[in-house]
Amino acid sequence: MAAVDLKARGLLAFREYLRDYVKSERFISLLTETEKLKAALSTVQYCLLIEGRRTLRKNAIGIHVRKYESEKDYSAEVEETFAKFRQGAVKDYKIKFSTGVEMNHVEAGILDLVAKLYPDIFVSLDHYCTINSNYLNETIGLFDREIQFYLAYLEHISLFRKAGLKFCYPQVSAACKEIYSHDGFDMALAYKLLTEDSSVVCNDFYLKGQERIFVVSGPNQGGKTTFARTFGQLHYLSAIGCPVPGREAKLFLADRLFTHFEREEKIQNLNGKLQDDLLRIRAILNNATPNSLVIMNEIFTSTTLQDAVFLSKQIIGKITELDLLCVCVTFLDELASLNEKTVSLVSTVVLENPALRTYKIIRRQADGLSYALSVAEKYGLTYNCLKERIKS
Amino acid sequence: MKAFLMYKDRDFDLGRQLPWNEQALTQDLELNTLFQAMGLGDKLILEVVSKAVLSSLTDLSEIFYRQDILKDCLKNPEVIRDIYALVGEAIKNEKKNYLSIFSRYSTAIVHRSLDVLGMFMNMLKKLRRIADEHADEFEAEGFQTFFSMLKQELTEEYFTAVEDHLKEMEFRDGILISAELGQGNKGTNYILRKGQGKRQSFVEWLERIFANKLAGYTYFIYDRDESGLRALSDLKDRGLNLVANALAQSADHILSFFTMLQTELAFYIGCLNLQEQLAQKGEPVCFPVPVSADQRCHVFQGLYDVCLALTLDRKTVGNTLDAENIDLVIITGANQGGKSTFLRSIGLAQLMMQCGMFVPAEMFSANVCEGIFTHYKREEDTAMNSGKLDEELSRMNAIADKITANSLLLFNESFAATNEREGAEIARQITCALVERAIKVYSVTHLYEFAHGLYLQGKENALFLRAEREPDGARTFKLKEGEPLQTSFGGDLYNRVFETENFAMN
Repeated sequence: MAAVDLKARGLLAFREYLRDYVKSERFISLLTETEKLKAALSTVQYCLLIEGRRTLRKNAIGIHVRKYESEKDYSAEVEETFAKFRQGAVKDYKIKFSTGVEMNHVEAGILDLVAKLYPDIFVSLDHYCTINSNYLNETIGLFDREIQFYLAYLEHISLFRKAGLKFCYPQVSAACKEIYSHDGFDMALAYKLLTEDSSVVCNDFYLKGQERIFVVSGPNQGGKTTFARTFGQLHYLSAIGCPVPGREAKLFLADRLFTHFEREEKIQNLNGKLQDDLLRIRAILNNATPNSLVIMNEIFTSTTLQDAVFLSKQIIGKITELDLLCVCVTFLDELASLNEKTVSLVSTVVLENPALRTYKIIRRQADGLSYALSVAEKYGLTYNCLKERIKS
Repeated sequence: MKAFLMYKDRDFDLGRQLPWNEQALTQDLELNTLFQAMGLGDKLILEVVSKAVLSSLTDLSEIFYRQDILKDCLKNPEVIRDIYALVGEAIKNEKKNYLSIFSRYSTAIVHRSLDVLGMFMNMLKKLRRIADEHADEFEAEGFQTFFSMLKQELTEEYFTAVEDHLKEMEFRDGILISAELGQGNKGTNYILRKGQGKRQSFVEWLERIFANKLAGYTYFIYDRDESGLRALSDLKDRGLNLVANALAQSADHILSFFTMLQTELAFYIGCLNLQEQLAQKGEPVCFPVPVSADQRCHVFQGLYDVCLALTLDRKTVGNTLDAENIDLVIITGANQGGKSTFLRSIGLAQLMMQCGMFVPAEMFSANVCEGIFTHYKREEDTAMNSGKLDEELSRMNAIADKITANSLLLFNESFAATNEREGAEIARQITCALVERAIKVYSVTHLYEFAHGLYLQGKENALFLRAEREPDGARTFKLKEGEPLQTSFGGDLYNRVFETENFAMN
């Protein structure tokens, strides 16, 4: 660790601790003894002769043990004999054996005999074990456990970085709700796409001034839910101190993060789906403070359009009152321009071929027609086109 | 050891990428009829001949290499069929002795490999015997190399050495394994060992142990110690892991030698099958004389459509052509007069020549082509997403993406999906561009304006053929040189179809 330029307070303190520890008498002697023994053990080479037809004792198979005397590798000879038939790559028939350190009694028994072949080495090994039975320092043991979290996260995001995706340390504020992210993405989906060798589409978002609520609408399968997940992941990951997906980000440190995603209807709770939805949302709003964050995905899908608009307006109203940061994925265009706190985002399609999605979510007024219009345009059937074609 | 019967210096790759237009070629030239006749129900032959015919050679020496081998096969069909059967038996036996669930145990792998290797050695001995008996009857370079390789590699001494190894691997005297200490002092890096010299040192060691002359250390596992016996077989599995791998891979390598030999022979067996069927019908075949791709040559006598010959009971009508320095052949004339058949025979002969086969003709010589393409009129597109001319042009677009100089392109009634004037203009523009880009074009067409327009230009590198029609409307199915005519005699066909009705009305 001495060679690394550390900045984190936790790591600096731990380095200081290690510096003292490695200078201690106890550690130095442990180290030298260990090295010496390891070197000695690596010189041990032995041969086993497992008896065939003839056995030394009746009712038993003997395994004779002695030192290795540079006998030839038989598999190499076999390979050489058949080398003339070599044609190209073939299957590997090698069996993977368990690599655990536990031994069965035969292995242990053989090891005892090997120890007899090399008495000096094994006597010093015995001695070493007796005096060093409590070698593990408590602080170092703890470090070993805790650092795993960071290593695991870094290892995971290196997969994405290899594919050219960016990660950044976000600016985090518990006071300012003006947030932004550039080139963010959904890590769960990106992982799946990378394993399938598909490309990942990144998205931007920002909130300025009074803006608090993203209302995401647009064609299905266009990346709306992915956007909601991205928004949630970014805030969650920043809150636990991790670098977040994206080139650059400024995020809000929320006291709590609430999600409302559509659920299967459950027979147990005996309520209709709509009532279930409302109960869940009430629980969220009751627990939320002005510093919370709410993500709602396709709420109120199991009622009439008019009801859904009414109910959603009520909920958005409450969210607005609480001044919550919120993402609301919906098919209701009416919500997009409800008040000065809402920002309308839409998922987009390729104009020439409306069946193709771009998976880009952009700030645009929701007109409910972006998809239908472009299909109609392609066939010259939009209102304007049709009026042009039909001459009076 | 390599068979090298398809190429002088490399294997025939069954997994090869076929030309992108293989489907069109297969459909347009009725190649499946040819392949079925060659395969005669043998799936491997079917696969091999379809790959071989569709992946044309352009190197003349490679074509001659195969022609020579095929000539030997035609001279000695029984020997070739014997070798093919022998190789097939070896492969079938190997498949029967499969590994199943025991493949997780090295000892099982060793046993299985010993069985298979023993069987393979017997088959190789038989192969060697055939080589000894018949090698003299083969003249082709490919066969001479093949047989002398067998004689050189598969000697008595070699067979003895292998048999010694196989016997040794039964481990009657025990198994000698070396090991080192790994993590936790657990034994690791187990390697099967063999003593040096003829008298193996471990046998000596054993004898000293049994004679009580050596104070060694011995661990005993008694019969009733079941977990101990399990641990022992685990230890054996570890010790035999590498050698089991070496044995199994060796068996696989010999298997792939047999498989490659079977694959390459399958091509020639397919040719034998075809030749025998054509001979029965009294149809001639000849070995073609290919010339280099930059020349323009199409000289043949009695060229017939091999696929038609295979399906007809009577003899086919052969065509004769003497086209030197010709880039463009326009074929017009009577409906059902043999135009499509002629065009197909051109394509088939080209493919057969360029894979080293004989061709269905009395005499045949042509330049090889860098690529062989077909553009035929198709049934209406069922997907409904493109109009017919749109579809034809999009196929032409795909061909244009791939075609290079010195290729051959066969058009059959292309660009007729619109009115004659537009169709002719499209055909003219495309055809002229192709010919100027050194592509050899055969075009069957009813577009009079197109054909006649080119005729009037009187270019020396263009040839005009016409399907013949007797004055009474009968067809000879022979093509003759001639000026394109304004009618394709569809009336004849109409009359024949409606003859009965007309007659009744009269």
